[in-house]
Amino acid sequence: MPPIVEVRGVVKRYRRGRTNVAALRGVDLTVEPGEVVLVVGPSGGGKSTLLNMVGGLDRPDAGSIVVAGTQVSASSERALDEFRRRHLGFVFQFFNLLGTLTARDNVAVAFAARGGRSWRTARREAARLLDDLGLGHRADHRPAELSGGEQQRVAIARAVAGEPDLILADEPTGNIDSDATATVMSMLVGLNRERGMTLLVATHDETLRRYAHRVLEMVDGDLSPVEP
Amino acid sequence: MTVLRLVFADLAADRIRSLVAVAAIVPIVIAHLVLVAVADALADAPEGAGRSLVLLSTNPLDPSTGRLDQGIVAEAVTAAGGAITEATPLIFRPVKVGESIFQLRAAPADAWEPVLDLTLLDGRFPAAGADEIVITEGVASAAEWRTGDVIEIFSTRFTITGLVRAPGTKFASIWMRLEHADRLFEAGGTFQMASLEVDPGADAEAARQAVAAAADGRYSAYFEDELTELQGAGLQAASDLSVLGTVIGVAVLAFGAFNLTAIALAERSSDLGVARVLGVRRAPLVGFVALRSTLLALGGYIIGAVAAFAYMAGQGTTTLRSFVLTPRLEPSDLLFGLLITAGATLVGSWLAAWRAGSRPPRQLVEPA
Repeated sequence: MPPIVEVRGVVKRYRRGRTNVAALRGVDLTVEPGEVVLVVGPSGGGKSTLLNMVGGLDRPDAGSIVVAGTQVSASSERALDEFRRRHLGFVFQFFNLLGTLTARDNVAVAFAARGGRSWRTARREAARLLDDLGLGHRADHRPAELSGGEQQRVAIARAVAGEPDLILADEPTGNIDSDATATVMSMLVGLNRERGMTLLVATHDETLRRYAHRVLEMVDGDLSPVEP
Repeated sequence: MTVLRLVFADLAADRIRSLVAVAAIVPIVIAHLVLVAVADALADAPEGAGRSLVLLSTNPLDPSTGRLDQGIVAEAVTAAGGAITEATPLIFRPVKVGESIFQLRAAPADAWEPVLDLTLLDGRFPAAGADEIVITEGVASAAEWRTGDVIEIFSTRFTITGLVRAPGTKFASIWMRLEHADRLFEAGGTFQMASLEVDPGADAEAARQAVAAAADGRYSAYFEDELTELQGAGLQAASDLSVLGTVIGVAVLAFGAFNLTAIALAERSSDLGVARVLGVRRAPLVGFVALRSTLLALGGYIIGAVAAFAYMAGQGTTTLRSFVLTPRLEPSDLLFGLLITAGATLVGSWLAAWRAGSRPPRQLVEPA
């Protein structure tokens, strides 16, 4: 089976004021299907930039990125929309739930966005998924009525709606307490085990190493393997 | 359908802001529709005796400053070469009673019904020598006067003895016997207008031209309906200008919608980014935002239209100078306003959403 993520020689520079800052300096990365890969390192080291590149949220200045057979680095905006819809799920540090919708509807939006179903069906599937993930009792609550840990679990439910091939999680535990961290990571790893979803997680929390099959370290735009 | 449900869910989730957005549109819509209704009422074709000629010595828009006498009328009748069967002098004064200005017309009592087509609806015509008047339906409606009321005109108290229906119903007029007006205004036998009845078998246009030729610039002859139209034209122009103003006001909604949507999207760029991350294309996302804004505008329009109807129903008639109008709205007026409102909002919000949505998803999710 081909790798689900293949990153080759990716370079990304940002302009800050009058200077160019290299966020990624020729990064290579291969992720096999079903792997849980953790990218650790200090803040500002380039972890989020790497995830954004892999997810097609931003474009590299050089290099190539192929995810689930899609040439992400050379695709049109429309093709990237389609790519994300079919293959990816995102989890953010600040949850990024839609504040005006209930937990169920936040997840239903993801189902609906993947297409091929009515809103009613999307809501039904969302309710089932939240039940499966132990959040059924919070389905009709809005994000503001949920704890940080619950919000992140709803965000994970949204990310896995429609069973994407790859989950990109950017500091998924960065805004929740240690108890919630354990719950959230168990949930992510459980999804990997039970549904075979590949996880690429960026974090500065070294305690998450135990959940990973493989750990990489990103420092100043350079990616290197480390022992889990 | 899914988009529509999401739009409604989104609007319901932030009810206060939705209501404020709707409320901002309502006054503009009310102003627009009321003015359009008044303009429509003014646009009604003037009624009147088309074959009657009116003799004036002055600007037809202000007949009260004119001065005619029996000699001039006799000259005009002669010029028409037998086409004129009846010549009726009319004293004309604008009178201000309360907040309204009405036309006061005075003519010989024997001409009121056969020549001037006044029809008595209630009460009786004024008696000779008495301080009495009759009023038209328009005046009764605008001033809420009834037969038996006493009103003061030029420091004299007059009793309203009857209610009449007059041709050229756009005029709200108060009627007085000619000799009484002559005394009241110390006119000395002069008057402002003369109504010349054209023989049914005669060529009315030829008669008018003959009178005009004899006048040699000292006076003018108009057909009565032409005069009515002329007098209404000034108000019509002013009204049309007002309507144009409110149409522009409604169109300005486009800019308002652009700004409001831009601000709302700046606040909610993360939501926009999340949708992009989920794989929602820019076009449906922009459609969602534009639909949301347009629904708010349409909500405002509907409430504004209902309020405008309620206001007009409560008012009944509106008096502009001496014109008593019953504002009315045509379905096409409502449709036009609706399209302008929806179109302006759609364009404004679409542009704002398209602009916001053109930022890379990464920037949207992680606002600066």
